[in-house]
Amino acid sequence: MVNPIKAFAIGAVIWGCCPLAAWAQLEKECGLETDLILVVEALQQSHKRFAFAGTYLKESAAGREFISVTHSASGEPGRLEYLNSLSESAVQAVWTPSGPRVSACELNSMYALYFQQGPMVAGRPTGLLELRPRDGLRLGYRLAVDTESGLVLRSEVISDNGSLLERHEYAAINVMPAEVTSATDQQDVTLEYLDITGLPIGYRASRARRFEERALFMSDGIASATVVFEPLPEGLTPGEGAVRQGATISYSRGSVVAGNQVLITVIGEIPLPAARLIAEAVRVAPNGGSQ
Amino acid sequence: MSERDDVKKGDEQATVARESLSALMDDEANDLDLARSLRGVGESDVLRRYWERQQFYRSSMLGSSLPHGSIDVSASVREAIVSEKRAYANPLVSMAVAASVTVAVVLGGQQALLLESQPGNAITAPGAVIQMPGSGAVQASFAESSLPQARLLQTTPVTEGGPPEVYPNRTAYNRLANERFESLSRLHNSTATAASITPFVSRSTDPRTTP
Repeated sequence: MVNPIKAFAIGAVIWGCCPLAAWAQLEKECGLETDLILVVEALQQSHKRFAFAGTYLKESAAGREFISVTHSASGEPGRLEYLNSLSESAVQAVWTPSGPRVSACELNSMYALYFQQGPMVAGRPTGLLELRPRDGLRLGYRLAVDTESGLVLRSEVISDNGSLLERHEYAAINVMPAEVTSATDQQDVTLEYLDITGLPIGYRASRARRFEERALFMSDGIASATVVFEPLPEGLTPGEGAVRQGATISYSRGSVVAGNQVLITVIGEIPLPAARLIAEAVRVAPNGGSQ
Repeated sequence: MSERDDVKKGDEQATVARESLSALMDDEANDLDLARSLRGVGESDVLRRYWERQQFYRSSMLGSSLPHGSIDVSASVREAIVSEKRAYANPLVSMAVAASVTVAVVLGGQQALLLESQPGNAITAPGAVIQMPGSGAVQASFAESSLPQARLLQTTPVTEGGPPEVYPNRTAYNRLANERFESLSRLHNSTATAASITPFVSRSTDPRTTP
């Protein structure tokens, strides 16, 4: 079997990924192995550089779903279909992940990173990238990354007590190199971060793209949560409640801020303590403004 | 040695053990006193009852409560140990007991983990410093694991429970959080895809939760 570590290094050259090599050179400063840096970069570039079509299984305590997905890497949204659902929303548009680049060194400050030879997934060799949280404020991830493309072929989300919350795994996938166009070879996205005191360590806040007027977005680069503000329903006194489905938690907190009753909902793939800290931090800025 | 000598020697040992016990209760015992006290209490019912009385008097003088002060469980414990030894002589019974203990430990551990996710009381005071359960360092298990198939609920309340006087509206808020999960999942998937690298195979919104 091809050594995935060597394969990623070769892949970086094949893709014409001189920028990757440059990143790797820069990030040696934080003491990570070059191969680990390369796989983090490959994972982030994969949706821009490869088109694919396949079927994956999504599993959580809520159930099992077979989902077919196509992605063109042309800048157009892909298509995703829940194969076992009769619902009108069984077919959905799926967009390319397009957040700001996150370096392996940045991730390493919040997660312990491990990389080793991975399993065969959908008939393709993978490298196994593990992100183990360094505190209780984020979930853990185990990702089987395709050695050729950097696409995640299997992902597992692990809770702070070590239990598996959600798993995605391709049963079959066809991967094709995409033509590099101006649409795909875009520059890294940048976000305007808000200065909000009291957020969990490593999380940064910005206005939610496409929903700037009503929501904030929090992320440490991997873990992410959306915060939505609304008036507290009539008759409800301050309090809190939460539900978790798979890796996603929905935490609602009713508060009185400057005489106004506000309902803050934090929804995302984060642990409950992180959701509480986020709700507490934004409570003083219910309009999502900078402080 | 005569019978009278044996009685006299026994009385002397009891006196010494009693003095050692007194020293122990006065926090003046040395290692020898401690050893004598433990041996004496283990061997003499009279000395054990003396120790219980002294503890009772001392606690009464200090004004502390005595929830278990008048209950002597030692005889029951000894009896139980003897009877359990007889029962465990049967290997099948031993296996059954071991299996029961294992189940109890596993279930107990799960309950303890569940309790870990309960909110701290401090969160009900706006602006207070929050002591978060689980906010410390954790050792997540990355061993091969399977999904918890037993959890068949569509959504699992993670803050249910707690003192009702502190969280009188917990149920209402859990219901609200569930409604927001259903109505905001698509928004979150959209914003998260647009603003972060995603570690998932793909982000999707379960058709059952799509408004």
